[in-house]
Amino acid sequence: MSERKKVVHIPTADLMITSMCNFNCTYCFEEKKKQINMKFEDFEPFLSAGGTMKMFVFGGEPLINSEFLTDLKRYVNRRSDTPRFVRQKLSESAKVIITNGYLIDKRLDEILENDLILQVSVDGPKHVHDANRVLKNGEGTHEHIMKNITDVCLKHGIKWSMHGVINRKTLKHFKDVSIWHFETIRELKGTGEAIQQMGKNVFQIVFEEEWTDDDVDLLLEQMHETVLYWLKHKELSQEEKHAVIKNFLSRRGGKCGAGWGLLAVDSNFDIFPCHRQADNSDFDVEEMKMTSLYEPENVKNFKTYNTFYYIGVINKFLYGHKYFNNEYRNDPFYWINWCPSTNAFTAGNYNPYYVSSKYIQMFMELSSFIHHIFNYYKIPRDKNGNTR
Amino acid sequence: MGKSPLGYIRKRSIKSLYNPETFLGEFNTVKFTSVLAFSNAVKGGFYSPKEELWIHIHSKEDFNSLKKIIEGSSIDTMCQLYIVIYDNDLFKHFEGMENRKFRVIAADGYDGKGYINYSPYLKYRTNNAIYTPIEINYHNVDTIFDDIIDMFMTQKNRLFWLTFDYISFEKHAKFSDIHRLFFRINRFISWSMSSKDLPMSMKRSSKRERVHHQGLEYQFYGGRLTKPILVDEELKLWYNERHRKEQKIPSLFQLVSDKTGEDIPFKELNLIRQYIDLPLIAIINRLDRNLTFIDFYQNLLIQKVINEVPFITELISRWIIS
Repeated sequence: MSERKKVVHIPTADLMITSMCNFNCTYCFEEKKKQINMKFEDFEPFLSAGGTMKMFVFGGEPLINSEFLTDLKRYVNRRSDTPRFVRQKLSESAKVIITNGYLIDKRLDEILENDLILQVSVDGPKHVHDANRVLKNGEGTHEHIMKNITDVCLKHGIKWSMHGVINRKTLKHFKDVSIWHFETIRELKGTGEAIQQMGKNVFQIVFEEEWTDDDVDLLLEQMHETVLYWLKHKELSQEEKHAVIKNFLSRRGGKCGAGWGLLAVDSNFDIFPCHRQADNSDFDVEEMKMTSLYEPENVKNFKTYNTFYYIGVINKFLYGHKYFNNEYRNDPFYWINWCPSTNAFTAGNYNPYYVSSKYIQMFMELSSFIHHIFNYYKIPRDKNGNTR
Repeated sequence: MGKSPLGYIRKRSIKSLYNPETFLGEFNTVKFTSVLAFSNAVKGGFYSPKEELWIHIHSKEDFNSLKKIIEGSSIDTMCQLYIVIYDNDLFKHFEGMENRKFRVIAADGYDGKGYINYSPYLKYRTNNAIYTPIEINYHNVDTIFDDIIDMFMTQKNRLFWLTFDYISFEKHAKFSDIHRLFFRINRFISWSMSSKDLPMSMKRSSKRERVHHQGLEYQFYGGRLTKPILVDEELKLWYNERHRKEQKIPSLFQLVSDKTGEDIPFKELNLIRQYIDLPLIAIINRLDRNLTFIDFYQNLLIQKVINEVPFITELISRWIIS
C-alpha cells in the first residue's frame, strides 16, 4: 500500500473544481482568477488520506469540469478499504452545485449519473437577468437557461432551485424580480413550494454597492408594491396571501461556517476562509491564504482563521452602524445577510466583523419598514407576536 | 429623502453617516497634535467640545496660543483638558493659570523639577496634575518597575501614566518571559511602604503640602474605556500618536467639508466607522476589568481587527488590576 500523503484535514471542503466560466457577468468578482480545472488525480491523495468527510462544489462554472464529479463518484464506489459510513458521507457530498444553468443540456449524462442537485443562478425576468448575466460575446442567457430548467430538469426529474442577486443597477426591478420568482416557481413546482421559497434566499441584495438615500426610498417603495401585488392576487386565498407575505418580509440571513467549519480550496489546492476570497484580487491573497492542501506544516495566518472561528463558533457578534442602531437591538432584523467575507471586503481593512455602514443603514431602514407593513396591513403574527 | 409609502417616516439616512460638523463629536476623546491642529479644526467647523480634549504643545508660542484659547473660552470647564508638553521648561508658564482646570502630561518624561500647584494626595490634589508617561515594553520590563518605585520615592510628582508596548511582547516574548512578566508585575503591584519604613526626609511634610504621611502605596485609576482619536494639522485622523509616527497603516480618514456619507466611498467610510461604531460592550465582556490598558492601534496590528483584544493585553490588564 502506498504511503499516505500528509494533508490538511478540513471538516467541510468547499471545492473550486474549476475557475473557468462560460459567462461574463458584469458584477462577477471572480473574473481575474486563473483559468484552471482541478484534476481529480491530484485531489485523490487528499481523499485517500481522509482529508475531509464533506464537500461542496463551486466554480467558475462547475459543469465545465463535470468529469471531476464523475471521477469522484467512481473513486468513492471502488474504495472498499474505506469504511462504509465514510463512503456514504462522501457520496452524499459534492452533489449540490451552484451553476449558471447554461450547460445543463450538454452535461445531462453526468448530472444524471451523479444525481446532482442544481442551484441555478437566475436573476429574475429576462430584462433583469440579461442586463448582467451574459455570455462572453455579450449575448443574453435567460432564454436558454429557462429552457434547460423547463425542458431538461423537469423532464428528467433533476432537482433544482433558483437563486439570484439584485445590485444597484437592478434595484428598480425589485418588484419584478420578486414576482417573477414567485410566479415561475408556482408554475413549475406549485403554490405551496413558491410560498416556502419566498422565505428562503431566492435572491439577495448585494452589500458592496455605493447605496444612497434615494436607493433606500426606492427599495421601500418596491417592497411595498411587491406586498400589494400579493394582497391583490386573485388566485391566492387569504391564508396563502398572508403566508407568502410573512415568509417574504421576515427573511433573515443564514449563519455561515466560512473559515472554521468550512474552508474553501481553490483549483491550485490553496486553502482560504471562503470561496469569496479564493484567488480573488479584491483581497490580499497572502493575508487570507492558509496553506496548500498538501502542506500542513506551512499553515499561516492563524489570526485570520481564529477571527473567523470566533465569529462562527463562539458566536461573537458582527457589528454595524452604532451596533445596528441601538433602538432596534431587541427587534428581529430582516433581510440582513450574515457574510463575514463580504464584510472583510467592504470594511477597507479586512475586518470580517464590521457590516458595511451604507448597507446596514439601508437594511435597518428596510427592517423597520417591514415592521411598519406588518402593523399597517395587520398581517397576523403568532401568539408570541413573532412575525414567523 | 423622498416620501415613503404608507406614511412611514424614515429614521436613518446614508448621508448622516458623515456630517463634517458632528463627525468628531462621535469620539468622546479628541486629541490634537498641536495648537495649530486644534485651531484648524475649529476654523473648519469640525470641532465641538467633547468630554476629553487633549492638546499637544511643543513651544512657548504654542503655549501662548493655547493660553489665549483657554482664557477666551470656558473650554476647560466644558471638557477635561489634557495638555501634553514636549519641553519641561514649559512648566513654569503654567504657574499663572492655577485657576483653570487641566492636566499636564510630560511627553518626554518628567524631570522632577517643575510642577503646578502640586500635591501627591488625592484629597489635596488640584485639577492641575502632572503625569509622567511610562512605556513598558519587552526590553525595559526588567528594570522599569524598579525605576517607577525609585521615582515614587524620590520625585515630588508621583502620578504616572502607564502604557504598554504589547507589540514588543508579541514579537519577542517566549513563554518563559510571560512568567517573568507576571513576576515583575506581581512584585510591582504588591509593593508598598509603611510609615515606619519611610525615610526621615519623607516623613516630614513640607509646609506647602501640610499632610502627614501614612505610608506609601499605589492606587490605580483605571477609568473607563474611551475611543480616542488623534487629529493632526492636515485634519487627518489617527488612532494615536504611535500610529501617526509609525504609519504602518495609513491614516483612518481625512476630515473634509461639503461632503456627506453618500459622497464617501464605502471602503473609506467603513474604515473610520468601524472604529466609531465599535460597541465597547464587546470588549468589556471579554476583559471586564481594567479597560484603559487597551490600545486599539495595537489591537489592529496584533489581531488584525480592532475589536479583538490580544492575549498579552488581556493578561497584563488582569494582572495589574488583580
